[in-house]
Parts: sequence; structure tokens; C-alpha cells
Amino acid sequence: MSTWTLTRRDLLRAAVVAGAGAAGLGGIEVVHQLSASPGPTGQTTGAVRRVASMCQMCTTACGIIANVRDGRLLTIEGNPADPNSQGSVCAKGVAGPSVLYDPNRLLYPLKRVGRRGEGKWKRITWEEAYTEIADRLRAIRESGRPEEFAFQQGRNRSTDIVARFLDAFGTPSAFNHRALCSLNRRAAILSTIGDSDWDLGDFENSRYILNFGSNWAEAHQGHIPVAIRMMRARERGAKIVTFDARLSNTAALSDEWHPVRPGTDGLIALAISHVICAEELWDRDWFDRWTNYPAEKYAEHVAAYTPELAEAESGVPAEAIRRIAREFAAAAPRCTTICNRGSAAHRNGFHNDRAITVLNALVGNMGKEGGWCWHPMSAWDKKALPEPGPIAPKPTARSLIAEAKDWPLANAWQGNKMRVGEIVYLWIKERRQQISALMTYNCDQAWAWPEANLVREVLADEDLVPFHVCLDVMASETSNLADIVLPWTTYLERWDIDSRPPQGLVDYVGLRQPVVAPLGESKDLREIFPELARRIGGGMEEYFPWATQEEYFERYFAPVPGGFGHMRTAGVYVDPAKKPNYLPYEKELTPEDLEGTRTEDGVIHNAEGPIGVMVDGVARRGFGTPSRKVEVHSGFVADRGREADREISPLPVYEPIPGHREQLAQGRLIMISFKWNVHNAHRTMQSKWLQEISHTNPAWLNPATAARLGLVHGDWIEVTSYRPIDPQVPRGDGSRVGSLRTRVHLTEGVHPQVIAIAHNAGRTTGGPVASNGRDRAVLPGHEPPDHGRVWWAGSLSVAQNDILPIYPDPVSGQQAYHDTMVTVRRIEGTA
Amino acid sequence: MNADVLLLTSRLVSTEIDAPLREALGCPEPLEELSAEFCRLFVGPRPVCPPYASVQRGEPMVGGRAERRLKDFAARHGLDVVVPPGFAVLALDHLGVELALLHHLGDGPVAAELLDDHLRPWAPGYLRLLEESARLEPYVSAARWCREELT
Repeated sequence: MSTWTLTRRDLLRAAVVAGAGAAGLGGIEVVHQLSASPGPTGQTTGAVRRVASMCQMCTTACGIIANVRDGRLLTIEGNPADPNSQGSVCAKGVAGPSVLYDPNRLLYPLKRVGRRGEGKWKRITWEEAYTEIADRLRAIRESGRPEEFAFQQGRNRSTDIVARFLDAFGTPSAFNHRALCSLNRRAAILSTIGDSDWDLGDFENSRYILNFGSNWAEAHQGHIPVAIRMMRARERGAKIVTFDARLSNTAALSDEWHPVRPGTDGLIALAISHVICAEELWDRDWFDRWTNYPAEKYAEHVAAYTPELAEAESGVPAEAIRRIAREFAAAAPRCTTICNRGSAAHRNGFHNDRAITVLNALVGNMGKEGGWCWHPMSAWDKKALPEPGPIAPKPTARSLIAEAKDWPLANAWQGNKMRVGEIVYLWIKERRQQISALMTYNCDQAWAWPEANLVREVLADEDLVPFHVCLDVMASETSNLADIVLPWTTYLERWDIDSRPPQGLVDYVGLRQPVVAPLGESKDLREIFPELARRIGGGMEEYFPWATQEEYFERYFAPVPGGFGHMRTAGVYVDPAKKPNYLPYEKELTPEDLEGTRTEDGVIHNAEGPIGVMVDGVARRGFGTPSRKVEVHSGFVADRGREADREISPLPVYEPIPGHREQLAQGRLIMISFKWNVHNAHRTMQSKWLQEISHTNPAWLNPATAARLGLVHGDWIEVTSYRPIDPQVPRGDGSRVGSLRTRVHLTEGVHPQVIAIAHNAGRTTGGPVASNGRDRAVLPGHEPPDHGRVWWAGSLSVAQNDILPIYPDPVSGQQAYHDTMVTVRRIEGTA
Repeated sequence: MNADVLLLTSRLVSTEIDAPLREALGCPEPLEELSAEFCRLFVGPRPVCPPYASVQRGEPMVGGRAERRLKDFAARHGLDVVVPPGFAVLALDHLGVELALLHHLGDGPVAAELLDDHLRPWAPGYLRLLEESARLEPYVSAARWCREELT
């Protein structure tokens, strides 16, 4: 504190200068306008404007309508014209205004003036920010090592502009979070059917749904579009059976919930396959016609996976497995599976999801109405709506971290590079790749990544990361470790072309548009990147020729009937001529398709590769795999494994998680994580409306387990985690990772060998709402306890990610979120 | 009511102290320190004293009901507020705006309405918080004097 004190004389001098209107002293000006007759109080002016746009509170991107009056967003509702969400939105979607008008939002470019991480900032102008960032990036680009500029994204719904900038710059160091999310599921589906990496069960028309660890009612990537169809199916009598280690709200909405030991979903699917084969409940004709492996041989393969073995490993009774197998097969082809992180986010998740996918082939439901379906487009039709040129070429520089060659399936598919996100900061720490500048975009890796404390350590180290720019809506653990913070617009203040895998099996395109003007000085990437490109120069600027964002989108949406104007009004477009993607593999090739082709072992090739397959003497399109059939036996993955010196079984198998049996026998538990229905990632904890609903995360324990450990409801416990005992995993030496202190929540709704903790908690920065009042500095006023304030301040809120080991599946690189072994002991006192 | 105090406080909570104002006030601290303090107090990340009635009165959103009521007040009395570009003012329930209005209105029934309905319910408590939280002058003294003017 300065010893200088302002005196009344100083004040007088300053005010006199101010009053004289000296340069720089001008303040807020009030103008007294003549008004004929002052209006009465309480009246509103102006009508409510309804603006169609797209949500981005999570990644599902549901269509929304924003109700806006006098430039202020009042409420958000669903857009009935959106073919995926059909007018529904979840609690997160409704809470959009609380993020837009969040008192703790970042609204000005900031530059740190203290040590990195100290939290001392000054405002700078955009001009200053642009100059400094462009100077840094230009120097990297001109050094001839563009890969030293790394881009870390979280959820990115502006893929066109991000790829354009990074490609124009020439950096391949684009780090995403797919390995922390859906990698194994995608890899399993891609290797099996080739057409897509995303299954879209035709739930609405289905009669029987087997759910392996997907929490679609709360957190699935297809959340609302899936949930509304599931509920319609159930109203019509469909049966939903859920296998999950925890009684999620999805499990609660199912007809049956079977608690499973984590990592055994694939074994259950193989045991169901065993029953279907043994009792010949299969669609053998379909399997033999449309897969690359004979049904008889697959029956031999699954013979060892008996329901009794599955019961011993998973805990699901053998009789239940038999009954479910029969019911599932009897409903075929109007039956389907769905799976997600419960089955995929494991060390053996690739095979789990392969086994589940192939189960569909066994009953012949693939691509059929009410069956297991997919769509070749994960977004909009990019042939009908191509990106406006000029398009930058892909970088020729190489990034060791992005290539992640230790994991053979991470980047095995052209155009679907999944990376291995969880190893990025470990490898930077190990100096495997030099990083000279890092730009973080909509990501809080310093809180959200496994071993987040390691990420914080790396980001705090100016030798490892000499320059860090963070672009986000809100302050976070990551922005705290930046040199420059750029205030990003919320999804309610910016433009995007966007769409999701179509749950209705017909592709569509949507527009995200500003429903209000950007608050403060916030800007979107679509404004920042072209400006940086111009300042970096060296040809980059040529890829950003349009004058305004509107002009860019006018060009983008020109092929839509009614063009950009239609999109601005309706928010979405579906081509009425398109039909649902049923039975795409049966499509016959035309004489034009067959011109100049050759056929080898039944596979039809043109100059670019396989395009179809001969089936019963007819040339059909088949599947997008090398054999043009469902690859029950994947030579492709086995080959990729061999190239990386890793053995990958070409058939779906059950590989027990190394070390689990031994450690479970010692009384250790498996720690899993989960999401609540009102939370997504770091962003939603910033929403006061959502935090009011859910703001705490005690550890779920089964009463039988608690009794064994001498614990009762509400006890304080210390949970200590260990690295895997697995030579194929980095640092897989079984050593201790870390501990957290939390309280016990007793419930029968969790498997007895599991401790479950929601990961939507444990923020330490970002304001009182996000941190349950831990971030004391932000509490405006200390005591007044009115209900509008953070009444839940001090509630238990534990950061689980800090004690999750970096644990990539050796095959794919998927983070094994649900395989962490822990010990639990009772402690006295509090956190 | 001391118009100088209102004018200066309005200016101090709305934007950084620049070179001419620093000189007029006789501040010994370098501009960068003053800017960092302004940021810490009013802008963030994690501002210590967000100067908005809505935030201080516990509304979940900046602006909100407090801004709507102030806009309504300004419209009824034919008042228009012009915030210079670069000021850290997101909504009209900002203390800087309310003080500028009070300064403009001087004394009389309209000023009394502004004081009673808009400023006094939150500003004195807020200014006490600011006085206690600020590490540098002139924020400490300005907050104290302004509170004394309003109460």
C-alpha cells in the first residue's frame, strides 16, 4: 500500500481539470433531452425479437431461439425447425443468459504485469494485443519451424476458421481433446464399418436398446437428440437395458439397470454374442453376406466368452445375460446398441466398442429401420456447401506430439486425426517438441486434463512455454497461466456454420448467429484470426479475403435456397429431397460407377481405391472398409499395430485391465468420473443458474463397500490414486499419483468395487460461482446473505482430475478415465 | 453534495487513470501499477469490486433488473447517457453512470429519486467495500468521500 494519500486539494485540482474537459479527462456524459411527456414507470419499449441460432453450452449444438428485447437477451427456447433437437433444449441451454451476462466474464484484453500465474493484470487495447501476438507468431513462422506454434482447443465449433488459420500459418501442432472424449468409440466404428466414426441408432423406431455405459439423458454428445427419441421409443413400448457402473439418470430412465465392473462392457457384449451364436438366434445370412468373417468362425471365437465368465468379471448374472441376448435377438432388426464413455474410456475400450458394434452385425440390424444406423456425414454436406476459397494447403511441417506415433490407431484414418491429447503436456515437459507459443482456445486444460497439476506446472514454466495466449469467455485455471488473455465472445454473440451427426439420419446445416452485440470488448476468432493473418503477413492474409463475417457466410450459404437470408431467419436448412440413410450398403453401383473399374476378390476398385463389392452377383456400394464389408476381422488395425510394434487383435476380444484383478483382491477400488445433467465442462460451473442446481461432488460408495471400510454416510475420506501397472503406458509403474479429500455419499446406485466422483467441480478460480466461494476475492460484499448470492459457498467441491493418471489406451491413445485404482481411508476433520 | 467528488469517483471507477489525470492528482505510482489496480478492482479476471448495482444486489447477471430500472428512470426524465469508447462500462447500472447522472442532476426531486431508488440501496455498502479493498490511492479516499456524500 502506498503511503501517499489523496487530499481534498488534489481532488479539487483534478476536478477542475476534469471540468475544463482537458485531454484524457473526459468522463461519462449525460445529456438532458427534451421529452414531451415522461412515460409512466414499468412500461417496456420495443417488441421481443426472436432470433434463431444454435446452442453451444455443450457440444450437441441444439437449435435455439433467443428472445431479445432492446438488445438484451431475455430467454432461450428450442428451435422446432432443428431436425436433431426438434425444439427441445436442456437445462444448460436454458441457462445461456447467465453465461452471457456472467459478472465474472472476461471482457477486455489483458496482459499480465506480474509473474505468470500471479493474477496481476492490466488492460491493453486490441491494437496492442494484436501487435504483440502477431510479432511473436511472425517470428516463429519466419524461423521455418511453424510447428513451434501450438494451438490447444477444447470444444471447437468453428472448425472452418481454426483450420484455415492453422493451415495458412503452416503449423500441424493442433491439439484437440478427442482422446479425452470419444476416440475409442470412433476408432472401433471406423475400423468396423468405415463409413462413419459415429453410430446413430434409429432409437425412435427401435423396440430394444442395449445401452453400454452411455449417459445420453445427461451428457452424451448427442444428448437431447438421442434422449427425445429414446423417450418416444419407450412410450411406444421399447425396452431399454442399461449397463453402467453407476445408476445415472439414464439408467434411471431405463427398464433395467445392471451395475457392471468398469472395463467389462465388451465382455458382456461378447457373452451376449456367445448366447446368440450358441442358440442360433443370429441373422446368419446377413452376417455371412455382409461381413468379412464367417458366422461359424465368429461363433467359435466367442465360444470362450461364456455368460458365466462375464458374470465373474462384470457382476452381471449369467442368467440375465442369456435372457437379454434372447430378447435383443428376438427384437431384430428393430434393436440396437448404444455405447459411449462407460464402455470406451478404458484401457481396453477399443475392443469393448468393437465387440458391441459387431453384436449388431450378428443380429443383422445394421442400417435398418429401428436398428443400428449411421450417417456418412458428421456435419453438413461439404460437397453441397463447400468452404469458400481460397483454401490453404495442409501443413508440411511435422509435429511429434500431434503425430503421437506410439499409439497406432490415434491417427490411422485420413481426414480423421484424433491425436492423443492427454500426453501433450507430459511431452512438452519431456521436451520432445519445442513449443515457442501456445494459444489456448475455449479450453481449461489446467483444470480439465488428467494430472491437471502437471499441466499447470508446464504452463507456469516460461522455458517450456515461452508465450501463452488464452482465448476464453471466462477466467480459468488456464487463463490464469497466460501472458495475454483475449476476451472471447459467447456463442450468443458470434457466427458459425454448424451441425451435428444427424440423429434423424438426414444431414442438415445450421447457423449460429449473434443474438446480441458482443459485450465489452470481446471478439470472436472469426474477427481475430483474419486480423492476425494480415499482421503476420507472408501470404497468410490471402486466405482471408472477405471484408466482413457476413460476407463470408453469404458466400458459404449461397447454395441454400434463400441463401444467407433464409439461414438468418430459420437458423437451419434440410434438403427436402434427401432420405434417411437406411441400407446405404445395398445401393447398386451404376454403369457409370463401374466404368474403368477392376474387381479383385469380389472388391471393386477404381483408380482411387475400393468403391464397391460383388454380393450375390450384384455390384453394390457396400461399406467404407478395405473389404467393403463389415470388418468383424480387421486386418487394417492389426497392420497398424504391427507398424508400431503393438499387437492388436483383428477380432474383438476381452483384455482384462492389467493389475485390476490383483488390486481389487487387495481391497482397492476403481475410481470413475461422471457428469451431471446440468454441467458440461469448466464453462457451466460459471453459470450461477446451473451451479445453484448442482455444485458439489461427494464420493458415491456402495453401503457394502462402506461397511467393509468402516465408513458411514458423510464421513470424510482420503482417496489416493495410483498409476497403472502396465509397461505399455507412460510411467506405468503403479506409483502413487495423488490424493483428494472428500465425503462419503452412500448409495446402492454404484457397483461395490467402484468409487464414483462427478468431475464437474473443484474449480479454484473463475469467481465465487464457479469455485463455491473459494475464490474469495470475487465475493462482492461479504456477509449479506440474500438468496441471490452464492448461498452454497463453502460446499464440498473436489478436483478429481488432479489425481487421474495420464493413462492412454496403448492401442488408440484414448484416456482410460475409468480404470484408476485407488485406496480409500477414513480421516478426521475436513478438507 | 460535492460535485467534484461525484465527478472524480465516476471517472475513477469507469476507466484507468491516464497520464493527465495522474498528473492532476499527483499520484506517485507508475501508470502501469495504477492500471493493474484498476483491473484488479473493477475488471478482473475475478474483479474484487465489480461496480454494478445488479452484481452487488445479488442478481445473477450483469445489468438485469437494476439496469432496466435505471433505463426506465432515465427515459422518464429525458436523460441520455453517453459512455466514451474504451470505458469499462458494460451496463447502465454501473456506479460511474449513476454518479454521472447524479452530478448532472445536482439537487432537486429528480436527483432525490435517483439517490433513494437507485444509488442508496447499494452504493454506500459498495463504496465501503471499495475503500477496504483498494490498495492504492486515489481509490481509497475517493470511495470514502463519495460514500460520505451519499449517506
